[in-house]
Amino acid sequence: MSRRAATAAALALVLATGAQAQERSARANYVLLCSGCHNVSGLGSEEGGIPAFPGSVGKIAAFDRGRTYMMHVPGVVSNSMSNAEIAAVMNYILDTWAPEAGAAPFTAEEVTARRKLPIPDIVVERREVTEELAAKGIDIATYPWP
Amino acid sequence: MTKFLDRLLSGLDRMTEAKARGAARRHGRRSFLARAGGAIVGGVALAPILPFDRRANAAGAAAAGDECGYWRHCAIDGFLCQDAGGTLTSCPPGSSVSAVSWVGTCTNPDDNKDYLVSYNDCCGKPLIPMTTFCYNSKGERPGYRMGLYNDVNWCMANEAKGYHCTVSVVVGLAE
Repeated sequence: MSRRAATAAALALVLATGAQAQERSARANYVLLCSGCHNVSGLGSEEGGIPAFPGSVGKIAAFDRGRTYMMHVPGVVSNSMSNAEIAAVMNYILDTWAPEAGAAPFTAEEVTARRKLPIPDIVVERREVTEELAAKGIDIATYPWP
Repeated sequence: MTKFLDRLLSGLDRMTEAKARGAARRHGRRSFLARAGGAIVGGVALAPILPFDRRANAAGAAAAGDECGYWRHCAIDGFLCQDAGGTLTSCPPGSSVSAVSWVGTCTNPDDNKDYLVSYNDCCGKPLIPMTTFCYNSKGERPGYRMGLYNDVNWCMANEAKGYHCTVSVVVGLAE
């Protein structure tokens, strides 16, 4: 029950006024559209199965397959932002929680291209990204989904 | 002469005693407490009449009429914690704030600015049915738009998943 419900939480990425997502700063879009699950602190919720950003998101963004994975997480899939706004929010997240990781910033073109790639099961994708990074000796945030 | 002095002195004694008793009746500790209590109660009653900035209590002022109409509640869907032993921004004792939440934008009529408001549920205590329920959910869409759907128990990501009430916390400017 809790994981299903928390999946709903992860999917329901808190878009109270998504139709008016334009003309807001990346931080405001993050708070409005992402922080409901990821928190303003970026720490997510282990009980809710929402991975923490610090020490993790920069490592994923520094990895090609990880960048595609990021473009298919529930919050990115279900929000109402333009690809340019998604890029700006991704860069806000990287600047805030992974300034040292050195991952390249996202552009609207890259977001557009990566969102077109088919990712049939995001949980399987996360597992495979985790395994590929682990093979390189890189650990990322705990992910409880089976 | 001696008798005259005796009468005079006893008269003075009686008068002194009568005055002392009268003063004790009029100005006794009890009457002092009664008057001091009256002054305090009267002072409290009069204090709100004094001119001061009461915007901090705007939520309370709205309580007299339309609690759900208070601007920070513009996108709320839940029972008000401020009526359940908590406040506008804090959970009642014994409950815990939800790890995930619904976030909306509300316009503050005082400065006409849009604010980001997080509607966190308070979890782990039973619902109090007499608490004021507000259903505003500005910006909500039907369940098939999952990212825009607020008919959710946001306690789901907490260890204690029982819903108690909802707080409205300003988390930033929507700009």
